[in-house]
Amino acid sequence: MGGRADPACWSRRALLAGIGGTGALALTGCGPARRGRDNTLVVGLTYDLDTLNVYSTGFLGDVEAAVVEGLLAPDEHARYVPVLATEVPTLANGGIQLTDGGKGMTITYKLRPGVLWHDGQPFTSADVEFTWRAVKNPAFIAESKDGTDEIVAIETPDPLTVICRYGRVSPTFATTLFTFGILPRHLLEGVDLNTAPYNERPIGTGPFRVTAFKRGQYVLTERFPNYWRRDASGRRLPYLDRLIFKIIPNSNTLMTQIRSGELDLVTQTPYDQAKQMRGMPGVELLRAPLLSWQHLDFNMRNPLLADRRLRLAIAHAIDREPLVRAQGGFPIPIQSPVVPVFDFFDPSVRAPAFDPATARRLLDEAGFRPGSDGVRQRGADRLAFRFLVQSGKGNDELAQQVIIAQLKAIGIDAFADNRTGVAYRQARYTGQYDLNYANWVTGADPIYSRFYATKGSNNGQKYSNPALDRILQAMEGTLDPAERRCQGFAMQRILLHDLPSIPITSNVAVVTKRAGLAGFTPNPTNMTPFVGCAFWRWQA
Amino acid sequence: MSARLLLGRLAAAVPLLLGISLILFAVVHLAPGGPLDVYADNPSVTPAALERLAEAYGLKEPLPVQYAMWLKATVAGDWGYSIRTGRPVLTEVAERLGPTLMLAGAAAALAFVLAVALGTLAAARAGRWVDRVIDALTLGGLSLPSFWLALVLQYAFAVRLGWLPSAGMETIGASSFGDRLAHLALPATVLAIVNAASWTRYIRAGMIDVLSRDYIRTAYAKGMSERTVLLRHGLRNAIVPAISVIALDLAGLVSGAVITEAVFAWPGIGSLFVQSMDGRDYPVLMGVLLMGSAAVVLANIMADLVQAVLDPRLRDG
Amino acid sequence: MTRGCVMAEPRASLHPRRRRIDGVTAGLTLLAIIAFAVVAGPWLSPYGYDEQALALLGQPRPPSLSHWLGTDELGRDVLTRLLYGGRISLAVGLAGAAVATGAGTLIGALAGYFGGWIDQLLMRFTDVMLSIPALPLVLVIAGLIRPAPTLLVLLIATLIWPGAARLVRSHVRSIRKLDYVAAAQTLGAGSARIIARHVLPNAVPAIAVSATIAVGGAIMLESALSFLGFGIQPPVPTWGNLLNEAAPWLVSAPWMSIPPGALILLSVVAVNLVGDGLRVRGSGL
Repeated sequence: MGGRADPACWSRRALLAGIGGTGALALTGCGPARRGRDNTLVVGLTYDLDTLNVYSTGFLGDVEAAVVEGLLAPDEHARYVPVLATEVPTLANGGIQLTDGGKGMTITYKLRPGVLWHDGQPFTSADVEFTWRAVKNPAFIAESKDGTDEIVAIETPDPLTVICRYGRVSPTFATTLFTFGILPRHLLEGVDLNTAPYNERPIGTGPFRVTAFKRGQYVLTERFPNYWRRDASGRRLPYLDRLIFKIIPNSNTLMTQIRSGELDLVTQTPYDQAKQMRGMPGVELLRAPLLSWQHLDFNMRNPLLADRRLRLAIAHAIDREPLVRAQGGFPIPIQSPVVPVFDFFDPSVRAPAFDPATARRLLDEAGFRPGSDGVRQRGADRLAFRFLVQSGKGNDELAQQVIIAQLKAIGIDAFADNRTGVAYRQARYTGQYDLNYANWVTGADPIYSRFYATKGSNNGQKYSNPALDRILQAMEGTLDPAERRCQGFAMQRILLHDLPSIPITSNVAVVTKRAGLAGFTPNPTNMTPFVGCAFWRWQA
Repeated sequence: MSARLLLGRLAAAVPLLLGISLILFAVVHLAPGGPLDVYADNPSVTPAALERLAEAYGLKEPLPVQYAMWLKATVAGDWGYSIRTGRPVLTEVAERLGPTLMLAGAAAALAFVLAVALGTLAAARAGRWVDRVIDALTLGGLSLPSFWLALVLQYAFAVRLGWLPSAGMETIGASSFGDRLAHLALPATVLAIVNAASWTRYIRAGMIDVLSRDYIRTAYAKGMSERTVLLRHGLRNAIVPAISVIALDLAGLVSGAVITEAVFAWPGIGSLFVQSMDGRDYPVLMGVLLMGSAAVVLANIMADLVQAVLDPRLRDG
Repeated sequence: MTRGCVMAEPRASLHPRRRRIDGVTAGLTLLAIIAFAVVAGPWLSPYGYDEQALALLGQPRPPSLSHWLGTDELGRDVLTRLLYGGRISLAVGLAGAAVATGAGTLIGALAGYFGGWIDQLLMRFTDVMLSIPALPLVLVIAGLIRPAPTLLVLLIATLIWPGAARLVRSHVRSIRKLDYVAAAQTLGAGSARIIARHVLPNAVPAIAVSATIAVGGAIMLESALSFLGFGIQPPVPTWGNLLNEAAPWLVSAPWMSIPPGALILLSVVAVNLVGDGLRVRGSGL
């Protein structure tokens, strides 16, 4: 994919034509789409919800995306489209203005008039300003506060205008804060967000409102009758009357429920399960790209792995083909950490090719000779590595076993040291591992400094290259697409030379859904497909 | 019933509970990193905020002081806040207790009925083929990995036959008594199997013991039917000694439902526990373990009392 | 709350002598067959337990002449993994039971022999351990510390010893009252000597029974821990791991899910047969 269209030209009308167009036609043809289950959709969630506050949940906000809206949202092509704002601010339309001679910027959002909160109160610019203050508040324990620090001040000259003053130029402003969602000021001002009842019953402006949240069981939402959005024929959205999120943490049980007809939709089916769903009558499998890629990371604190020759040898030992096949053929092999949908993806970069002979030669040259057990060693240094994967992630655990076998073939003993949930994250950030196979999911405007900059918040590898730091700073400090592209290319060259992380495959979301569900569009970003749920409907 | 017995049992439970709390506290707090570990890698929690939290949780005091503080708060009903959800632990645990009690109760009832029926039948036909079959069944029941059974039953009854729902506690929006029963059927069966097997053995043994007594022979001699003898005289006396075992298992059911609840997405204590494990939610883990232990202690006391009621000889303890 | 003998008493008259084949013999034979298979099997197998056949990777394949129990989705030989996994499951089970029985015997014997405050102290501690829900506690500890096989053995033992301690204590108490113990005491024998020479040998049937209960419990516990992802790490197979891996393929590849379940079942049946048989033999129990 080469040129990425300027998001501004993706107006709401274009969005509707793209997503809802065919759907609307079908609808006018057959009248209201209904199904036995009184126009209800039952969705399976693979995790037990912690909170419904989009800023503090540790999960992707599936439920939140149906209930709470932001100013902008990424569409199925990962392009930003306006939601509660009337257009995406750009330099061209005057929404973004550079200040301080190019060192800062001001972003002006025009808000959509006539939008109501689920409790009937009007949505205004004060809510946007409040969201910034509330998330930024140090007392609030948030999962992510990205984007709050860059904003110096927010002005609200009238109820429908928000002016954000930035201390620096931030091309990725749309990825975080106001895109996640806007909080209702009239309900939350002066309330402790850590313990607020809002976290159980969020009030948003979205197509569905929460009517019940039974922990460990389900979230029941129903159609918000005063939702602002209409389809092309002028009919008020959403089409569905009820959206039910069922919590089923066990993935086998999840699939059993699809088989038995108790569930209608699972948006991320484990590959292992998806293999077996092929050909099930009445069930459709959709493959949709994701801004997510799998990578094998090295812990640079380990002196052996700090040696590039070793990392290169390991990179040469990885064969992507069996990895893809083991995962049902779903993932797509990649050569660069930049998922090939972005315009700064460099198609000419190559990860080291699968070549076990070269891998062995490199290890020989580094002085590592096979010991009696086949594991290479050099003096007291033995090539035995703790291999960390998040347990419970079936896809990753499967791939891990293939990688272990591939490394064994060149005389490296990688032994699984998998951990669950928080323990996994902690091990990754504190360096209690040697190898780590994992994935990153990004928004429509990825911020790579998080992963690879010396002080990146997600850099648990202790990887550091000052040259790359400078490149990332330049890349993430410009609004000029050509400049970003150039720096992006440079970033990929450095990453594939240094090899702190070997890019392996990019992921696809395997959506399992009942065949009768129409209007479903996948979403490749971390905003989940539920941003488009207003357009989903049952076909007769 | 003797109040002295009750008081004595309750008094004995206090040091027991203290010991339990001490061990649980030690396990959780001696862990590397401690309870605030979850925040350590969260970039949005500043060191200052971490400091404040540590202060609020009293984590800066020496361990014995922390234990004393924690104990005082726990007794007063302040079980702290869940790290995962920010809600009070007592609320979290309390709202999961109902479903677990329902599941455990159903499983216990099912196991008890099965055990009484099979145990009595086996005792009445001791040594004959019915007895052998029941013996083999109980042996199998005791040896079956429960999660395996769960998966097989799910497939057979929910997918293949479509008779029962595969998971969850109710049909959302269409809950009724019958609906609850249908949802209970599979998890309760899985949970009941092991106990049904072991209780069958106790009942059978108790029955054989009772049936060899003189008064049973007298009853037969009086011309009472086998059925009357078994049910009226045999069972009552066979159940009494089994009660203490049943009580212990009953409490185990409540906390032992971890796997069954996980497979059947049953929103009880077990599910809460597994989720909290994932999030290293120490306050909730402590709450669940404490609640589970207290249930065992309580069940023991109840068993003593029930036995005392059923068997006057035991009343003076 | 000292109901130590409650486990054994009702079972005492459980099985009148009626088996044509003694349970102990049947159980031991079955165990020996399983043990022989898991020890010899992986040697005889042409495949490694973690060896992936590239050509077969991606989909489990049904049993064939070259793979008697088929292959799993990574092209590994199911039979080899099953037998290799049995080594670990059985070893962990037996070792866990051995440690638990040893600790339980020691504590039970001390408490039962000395009585008084020692008995009070040890038995209150046992009560505490019995009251804490086993599986959740092990999960918490296993979640905190990486469960290497040795640690797993200790963890499992921690959970099982209180049962053994109670059983042994109650029998030691009854043995202690017997004349020959009193005689030994009068002769001036030391406590340690009396316990080792006179008391424990007579408690052996009780210890053996509690050991069989422990083995069954330990095997089941290992598989449950692995099923929940807190056990031994893949690709090293254990029966619990194999079941966990087979779970998504329950229907479409039963050759993966049935054998490990069946072997857990058979092994636990075997040790239970031995335990029941011992109980019948030593009817004094």
